[in-house]
Amino acid sequence: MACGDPSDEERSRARLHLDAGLTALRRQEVDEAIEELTAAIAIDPDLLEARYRLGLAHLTNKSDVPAAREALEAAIQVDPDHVPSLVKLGEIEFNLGEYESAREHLLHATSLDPGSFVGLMFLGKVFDRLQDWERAADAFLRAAEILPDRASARFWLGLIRTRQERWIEAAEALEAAIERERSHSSAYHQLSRVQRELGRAEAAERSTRIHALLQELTGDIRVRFERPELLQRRDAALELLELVPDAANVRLTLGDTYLQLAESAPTSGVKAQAIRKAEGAYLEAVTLNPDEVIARARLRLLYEQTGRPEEAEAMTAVLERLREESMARREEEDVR
Amino acid sequence: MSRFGGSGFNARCVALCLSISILATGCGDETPPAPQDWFVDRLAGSGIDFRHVTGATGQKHLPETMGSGVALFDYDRDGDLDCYFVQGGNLPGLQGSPGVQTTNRLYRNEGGLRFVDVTEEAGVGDDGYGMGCVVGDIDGDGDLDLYVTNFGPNRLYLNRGDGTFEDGTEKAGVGAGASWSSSAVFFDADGDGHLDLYVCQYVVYRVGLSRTCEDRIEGKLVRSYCHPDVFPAAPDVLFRNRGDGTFEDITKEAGVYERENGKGLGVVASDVDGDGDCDLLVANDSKPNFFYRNLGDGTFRDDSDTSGFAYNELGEAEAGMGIDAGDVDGDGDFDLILVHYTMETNTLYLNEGDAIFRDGTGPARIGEPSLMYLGFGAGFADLDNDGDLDLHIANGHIMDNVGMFYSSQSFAQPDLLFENDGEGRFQNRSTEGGPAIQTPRVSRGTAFGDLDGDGDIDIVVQNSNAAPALLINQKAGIGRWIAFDLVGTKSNRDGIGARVTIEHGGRTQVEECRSGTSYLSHSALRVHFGVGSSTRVDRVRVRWPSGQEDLIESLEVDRMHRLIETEE
Repeated sequence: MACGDPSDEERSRARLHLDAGLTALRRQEVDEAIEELTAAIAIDPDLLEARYRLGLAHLTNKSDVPAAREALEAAIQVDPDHVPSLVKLGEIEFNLGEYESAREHLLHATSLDPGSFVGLMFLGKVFDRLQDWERAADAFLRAAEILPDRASARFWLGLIRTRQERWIEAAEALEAAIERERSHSSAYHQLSRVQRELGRAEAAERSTRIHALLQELTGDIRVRFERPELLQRRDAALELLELVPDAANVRLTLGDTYLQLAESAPTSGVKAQAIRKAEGAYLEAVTLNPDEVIARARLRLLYEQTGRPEEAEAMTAVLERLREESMARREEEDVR
Repeated sequence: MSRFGGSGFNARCVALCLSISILATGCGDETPPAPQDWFVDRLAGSGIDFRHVTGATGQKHLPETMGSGVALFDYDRDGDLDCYFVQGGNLPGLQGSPGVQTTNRLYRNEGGLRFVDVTEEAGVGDDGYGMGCVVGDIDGDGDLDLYVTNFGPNRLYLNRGDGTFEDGTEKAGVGAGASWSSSAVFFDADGDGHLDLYVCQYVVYRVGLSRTCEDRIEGKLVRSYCHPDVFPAAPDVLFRNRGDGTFEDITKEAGVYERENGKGLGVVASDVDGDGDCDLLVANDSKPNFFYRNLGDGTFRDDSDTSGFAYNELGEAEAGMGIDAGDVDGDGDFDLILVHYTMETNTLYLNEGDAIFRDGTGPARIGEPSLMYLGFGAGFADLDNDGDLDLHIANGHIMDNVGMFYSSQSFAQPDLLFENDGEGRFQNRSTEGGPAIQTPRVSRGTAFGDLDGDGDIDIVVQNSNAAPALLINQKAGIGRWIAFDLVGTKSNRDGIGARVTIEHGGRTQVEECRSGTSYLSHSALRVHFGVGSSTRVDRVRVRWPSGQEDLIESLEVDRMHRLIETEE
């Protein structure tokens, strides 16, 4: 540990460790990142970003909550107005059930940065736990304004309005969430209850059915389904698409199901047909959501396995472009 | 005669009321006791030398990580609670089984927290691969019989009343074949005065034919326990007690077979719609929960979806393990706690009346603190005798190698202890619980009851491949209490399913006599209330499963009362 203020040279050395830590984090070398960030802090204890990144490394990559908390609290000691640290600490406290201290940190963060979507979302959830529904709703409304295309703030607003038994507002918010995410299972579940309260029996039944079908399509990714189960899943997906035709991820699931069905197909003809249907489902998924990388990755694999190298190569290029765009977005969010 | 005008019953009750010894609990003690841990583990020196054995060989067979349960019941009717521990052992059909010789064990309570192993003389040392147990007087002869669920055929032990049991499985017809049973409850499904039996079945699992599951860690495949999604569900079974010592399978006729996709691990029979009969609530693993509403004639309606009990607030089917019922918000109806897998909350289903449930987990503040733990045992009990129900949860992961997959996770986990603030909001008091609560264990079933007869509720925790924990309540400054042993006459002998309401100091509390709660376990049948500082209970109402309602007025607190159903 350095004594007194670090010299310029020490600051430079600390900066080098920080950069090395950030590089290691990008490479997912978490142990190395923690080592570098810790070294940076040892030289320059006021190096705020190192403390914050160390907290994230512990939390995101190692799930070491006490260590993450310690790092973030130290970051706030360096700069009590460091919004990212305040938000992340508030999130940790929320998840530990320490709602009062989470509220204080998140209120402080969102007063410093009223545009912090994550801060407002957790603040809303904290107020929910504290049964302060109005302030919870206010936080989710503000979050919805910041990222109007996201479903999550609308869903939570709907949940709060449900708690308040303000059924019409609840229905509006939940429908708005579904508009933004067509297969939002939780929103359909809540909406069915709200619609029943509003006497909209038919709509409630439809929401219940959609929710049940979405539930049928969930499952552990490690599970290899047997053919009868696959046929059930296929039928559920097809029924769901009748009800919600523009649900991209249901089409992705349908494609996966067809691919698994192809593996157990009794004849080569049936197998070829299943592969064609899988391809069709994946293509529809990417048409509905051009950023749908999983469907694109499945298509690439399918092209490779069916001897279509040019199409596979073209898909690789698209995937690479999407990956770069995603990384750029993430870095932008990190900076923010 | 008015249904609540039972003065004759009152007089009879007073004559029959038995007081039990009241040890120092702080009641009336003017010297404030020194601060101490809420619970202390008194297993050492208790005489209980039971150690659970899974028989695991490294092949990761799912049954070996799911057991086992524990029962607290007074098998010899001497007034105190005896302990029955269910054992694992050698997994049936497994090549290379370690060959350990193990059986379930019964320990008789000798008083002063001393227990003696009476398994052999009692004849209850079942050597099946044990899961759970439940207790009830199924033949109405005045003593408690014992049903043991296994991975393999189940066992019914009939109490002869002389401290010994006989195997009544075959005659009764409740062996349930070579299936994998989990939790079970005795309750009177059809109101005929005889205890019927609901047995949860988990999944169809064949040791010799089971699938293996592996996960990749740093390029290497590591075997792990399979997710239950890998296996087909096994349907639960409802047996009707014919009253002649035999049972019949009425699962389909009774309407508890409408859903085939259960994977039940926990069940509670509770009158959640308040119409006088016990409904069935089943915690399913990764599948929607079941709520079967009793229609009063021994048939049930599947109201799982419409009641709000099937899914949590987010519309997710969670990995349900243990379950319990109790009125946590003091509104006179029974709410439910279900405990779940890691990264799922433990979920509180608040009864809004007529068995319409609302997920109240978040505002009750029990959700986030449970995210890192895998809950098995769960129970509501007034652990500080202040007049509201607190919550104890026993945790432990199913994967012994979970730390290889998730660095933040561990196989052994601490318990959670929550104190109710009187309005249905809970404070996490695990730290105040002391080392007995905070020590990480691989816990499974839990049973609640006053083991040392001092008026507060203790907890026995069954641990996987380890000794159990005997969590003795020693909270300082605890409130007063009142407890009831129910004696049915028209109803089943122990009043299982009876609803008891007490009024004192302007407050009303309600509880129910239940068999089979938590996970694979059975808690004391004695109905216990904490009453805070009240020195008398003004009124006690008992609504028996027969429909008979009795009223008793002005009862002393800090003692147990024996209430006998009036015969009109």
